[in-house]
Amino acid sequence: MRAANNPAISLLNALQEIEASPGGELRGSAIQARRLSKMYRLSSGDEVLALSDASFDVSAGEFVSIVGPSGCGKSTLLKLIGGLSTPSQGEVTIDGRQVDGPRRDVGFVFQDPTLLPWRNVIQNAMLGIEVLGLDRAIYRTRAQELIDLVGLHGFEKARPSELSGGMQQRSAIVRALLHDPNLLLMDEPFGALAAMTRESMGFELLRIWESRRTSIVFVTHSVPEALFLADRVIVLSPRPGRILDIIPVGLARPRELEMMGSQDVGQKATHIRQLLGARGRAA
Amino acid sequence: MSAPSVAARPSQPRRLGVRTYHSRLLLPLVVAGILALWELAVIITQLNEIILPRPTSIVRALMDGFAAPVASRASYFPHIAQTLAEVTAGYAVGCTSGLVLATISVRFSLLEQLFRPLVVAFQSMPKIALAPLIVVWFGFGFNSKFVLVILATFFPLFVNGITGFKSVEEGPINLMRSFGANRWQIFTKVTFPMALPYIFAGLEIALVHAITSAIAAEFLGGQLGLGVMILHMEQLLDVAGIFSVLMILACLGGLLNAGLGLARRHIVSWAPGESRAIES
Repeated sequence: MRAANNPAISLLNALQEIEASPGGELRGSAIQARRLSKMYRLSSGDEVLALSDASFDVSAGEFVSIVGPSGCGKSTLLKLIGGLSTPSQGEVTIDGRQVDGPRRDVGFVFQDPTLLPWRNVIQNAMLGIEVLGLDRAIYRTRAQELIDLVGLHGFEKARPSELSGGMQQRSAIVRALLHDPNLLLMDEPFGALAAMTRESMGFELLRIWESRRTSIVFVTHSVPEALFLADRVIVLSPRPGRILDIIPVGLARPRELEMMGSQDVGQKATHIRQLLGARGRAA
Repeated sequence: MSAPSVAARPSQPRRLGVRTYHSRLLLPLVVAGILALWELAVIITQLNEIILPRPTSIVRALMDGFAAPVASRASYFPHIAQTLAEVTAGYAVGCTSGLVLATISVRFSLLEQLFRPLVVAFQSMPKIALAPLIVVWFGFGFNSKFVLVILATFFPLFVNGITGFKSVEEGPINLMRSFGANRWQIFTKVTFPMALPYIFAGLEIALVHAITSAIAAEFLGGQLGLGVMILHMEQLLDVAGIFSVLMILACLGGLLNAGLGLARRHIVSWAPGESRAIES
């Protein structure tokens, strides 16, 4: 079974973790979601089931995508994992501990970059550090490294209104990564970007992920994007969101665009589209 | 019944660049022309200066007022200082308490449900109408003016504060929560800065109210203040003097407003329509 079950190896892991300082080697979090349901009460008093009976695992360092039609509870699922919302039934554990609120080892990226308009790129990146009460001097240097990594060098002092949509989202990714989260939760982060930007952002995200090995849960409504990025794709049904299938992608890393033309990927994409109830035939 | 819309919107984008070199030169010329015509008209028609004083008489009144020894009754300085003190002290206390109560009301929604109808009802009433009552309670000195200015400035900040704090979207709040931020951190780092355009709109309204109510309270009587001066000059039929005090008031209001505008442009330069020049 898993390495964690072997006492010698888990001791080794623990020693490695102790050595890991800010900026050092990181490990990803393991997530277990068990029979998660979420009910919302509308202002009319009616109750709406947003998510129903979702169970799945994400192993340490894994990249998992969640696809589904709009309003299927994808974002709800992400909020439950991140502790921004509490499940009506079921439970989520991260690294064996039950989630009962936001955790400091989790980073969020939303569809909207949600940058504070009065802060420049560096100041926006430092927001989490200020809230968490971490050493500003250390993390300021690290912020600069991350800004260089995502290609925002020279824009440290730029305000969000002076950046393009893609640059704003890069800035939001820097903010999410700066406090060294073990888990990155991304809610359609590239949904508002133009197709070309979107593709190159996907590449950059993979590059960052491969250098840091955090776990990533990535919500999207684009089937190709999910397949291109993830190790496994979780397919959710329309409301109430229910897990229809969990598909291992099985492509080699690092990913390349040509892989997307393979027959295997094509079949998986078709399978997912059929699950999502897409009608009609492609030419 | 629909609730009256009481909050002022953040100020609209200012049209910069409209003023060209020519209009910069034109304005002083036009003003000078009007003053010259005014002067001539009063001389030619031999109009009594009790009805309409000549601009030169107004300038002379101004010069006399500023040249007189500061300790003397004729000097303008103690009156300016008095009115300025009433306005600034009342403004500071009124605006601060309006904002503080708005903050508390947003935090505890029960309080807001309690306060809001009362405040809206009270806000629709002209505060100046309270001046005689306040003079009865607080006397003819500094205090009655101070209290009236507080009342006049409290409401714009209370209403705009609440509107501003509630205008904050869910996204940034969720972001702060994801970092485990507490309520105070969310308020200081997101809610309050986000509300600043609304707060500045409130501060601008409150400034106008502050000067108006200070002068109105001074009209009811007192020893010092620009309103008191106007009252005395009226009894002496010193119309040129009244005009000179009005000019001081205009300058005072203009200066305070310009200072506030400068602060706003500096502090909320990020707000749409604030730093950008012309759109549409």
